[in-house]
Amino acid sequence: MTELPPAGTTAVSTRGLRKTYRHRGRRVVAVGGLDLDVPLGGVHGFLGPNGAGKTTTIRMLLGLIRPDSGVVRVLDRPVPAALPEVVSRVGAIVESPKFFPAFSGRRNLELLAAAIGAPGAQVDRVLADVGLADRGSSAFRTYSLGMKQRLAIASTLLKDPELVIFDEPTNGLDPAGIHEVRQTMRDLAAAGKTVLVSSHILAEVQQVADTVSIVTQGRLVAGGRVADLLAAAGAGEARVGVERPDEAAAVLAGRGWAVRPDGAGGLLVAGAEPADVTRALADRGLYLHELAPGRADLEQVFLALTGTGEDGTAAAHQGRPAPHGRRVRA
Amino acid sequence: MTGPGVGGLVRVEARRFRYRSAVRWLAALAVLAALVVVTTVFLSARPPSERALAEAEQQYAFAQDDWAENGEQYVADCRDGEAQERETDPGADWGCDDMEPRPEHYLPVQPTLADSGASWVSGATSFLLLLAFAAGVTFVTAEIGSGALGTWLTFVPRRGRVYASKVTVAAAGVLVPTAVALALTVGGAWVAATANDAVGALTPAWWGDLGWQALRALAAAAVLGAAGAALGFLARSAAGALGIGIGWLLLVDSVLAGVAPALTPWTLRASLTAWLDDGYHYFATVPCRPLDGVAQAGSCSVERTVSMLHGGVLLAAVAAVLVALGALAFRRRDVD
Repeated sequence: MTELPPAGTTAVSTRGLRKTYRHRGRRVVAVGGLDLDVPLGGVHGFLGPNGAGKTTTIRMLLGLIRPDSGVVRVLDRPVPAALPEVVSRVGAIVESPKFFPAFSGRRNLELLAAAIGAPGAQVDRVLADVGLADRGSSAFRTYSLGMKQRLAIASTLLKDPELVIFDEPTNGLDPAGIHEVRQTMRDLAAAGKTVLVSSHILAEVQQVADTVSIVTQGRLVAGGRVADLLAAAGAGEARVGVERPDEAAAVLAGRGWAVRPDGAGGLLVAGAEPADVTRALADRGLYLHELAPGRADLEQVFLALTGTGEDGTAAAHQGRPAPHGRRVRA
Repeated sequence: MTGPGVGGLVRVEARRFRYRSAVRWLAALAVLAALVVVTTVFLSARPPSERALAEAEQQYAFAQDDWAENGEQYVADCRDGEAQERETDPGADWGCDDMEPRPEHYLPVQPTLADSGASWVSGATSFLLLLAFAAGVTFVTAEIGSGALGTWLTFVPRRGRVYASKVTVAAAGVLVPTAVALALTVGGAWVAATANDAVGALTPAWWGDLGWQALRALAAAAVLGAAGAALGFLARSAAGALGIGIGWLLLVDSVLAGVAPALTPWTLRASLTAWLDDGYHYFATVPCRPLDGVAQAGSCSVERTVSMLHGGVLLAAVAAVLVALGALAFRRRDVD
């Protein structure tokens, strides 16, 4: 287990965080020794396939479930021991928003505000901030999913938190709702807050996250700045458009480079500089009509690291390292 | 910042308790129960009708005729039976000298508030206590079931304080509707008895006893509200908690008392009744006592009493254990 980073550098840090459940007589590992660092400020994506342990981890950060072992530090304070000291600085929406269904949105917020000693006027302000001023007196159960999500965001704003945690915040939202949530996250980050967002929707995270942690089977498989991850993943492969691709593939493979079809008549060549590819093919009378550096997106990085491929196999699920796995640290 | 204290949380939980529609429904049911008792009192306290009086006089006349014809035989049979019983119970008294029919044996009885007020209040109390228990259970399980408890804990993570505030409000919150329903029962019964000229002599001692009975009912409601909340934390579902609570009273208690009557003082139902009604009487089967130094075969039935104090202490102890177990479970369990 590595040491915790120095105080004042991360909003959240965990070391060796572990949680198991008993399921049908067997012990199932939900989180298996997670080392996680969420830097202060910006949006941090917490990525992983369903069942990777993201929500369990977030629940442990919030003291809702008790870890079997490991260390958790939130805003430089140990959790759960010192959670009461930091909870006023942490806003969280875990899974779907959960409030009293029969109470109005305003009444739900009034109770929460009273519990933390926030002034009553704050309720109207946060309702207005999320665009629910007109529906504040409607029962929570009558809200659409998007409105419920906005009410949950409003509840986090009652505290004016330094760290805001969103767990799968766009599940079930329409495109407009997704855009709103994404904008909210960016606004919060721009206001100097740290946003931790868990998701399995990679495109969503890629658009808002500054840094990410990728987990599978309850363990960290990669982490760092999004730009670094994408650059590292993209540098290894070039897309080649060439006549007689089968012949070209044989030539390139003969040079020791990994070659595979790109599915659109071209080739993807890994481990080669573009100039070397050009020279090798020209020497054999094969001329390029396209040569482009690989443009990995977060989804490709994610699939490679978590070992979940098109054929549904999951190397990581079998306990082996993912074939193209790499670890990048910011 | 260390967060709100228990007092602050109690105030917030009290607001939530008042807002709950389930609590309002249960309060309405409490008022309805009081009205049902009052209506029953009104109907039962009415003076006997002319027809009932005529039937009673007719029955009395039949009995007199029968007595004139067979009275001596009845007395003789009675003395034989009494003598037989005195072989095992020297104090047996069958009242053979007072068997002649009298008019009051046949006239309809008109209950008065003075004679029956305590039992009328007791009748309403049983239902009110069930409602108090249900209010405590649903106050907690509704929050667990909706997932709102998880949201609450992300604002107030001190589970000990959260638990204490919820159990406290479950206990205190049922007091007002229970008190209103009891007051309605007593007031309504007084009006019903007055309307039927069946009040009787309401002495200061009578009012004192009734007030003490109502206070005991309120205390029991608070204990059951807290126990319901604790059971809600343990079972985490309204159906489970209500099933355990009511199932225990109806099944386990009954089986215990039926199979081993000696355990009756340790059953919840007997203890609750003893607390509410100033004692609970039951019959236990014991070996017969020797007669004139000679051991007697077989078993005899004796009447025993569970005292009010015994019942109250047992109820308080059970509630304390439930509340402690609920606290332990809530502190250790993961919250969805």
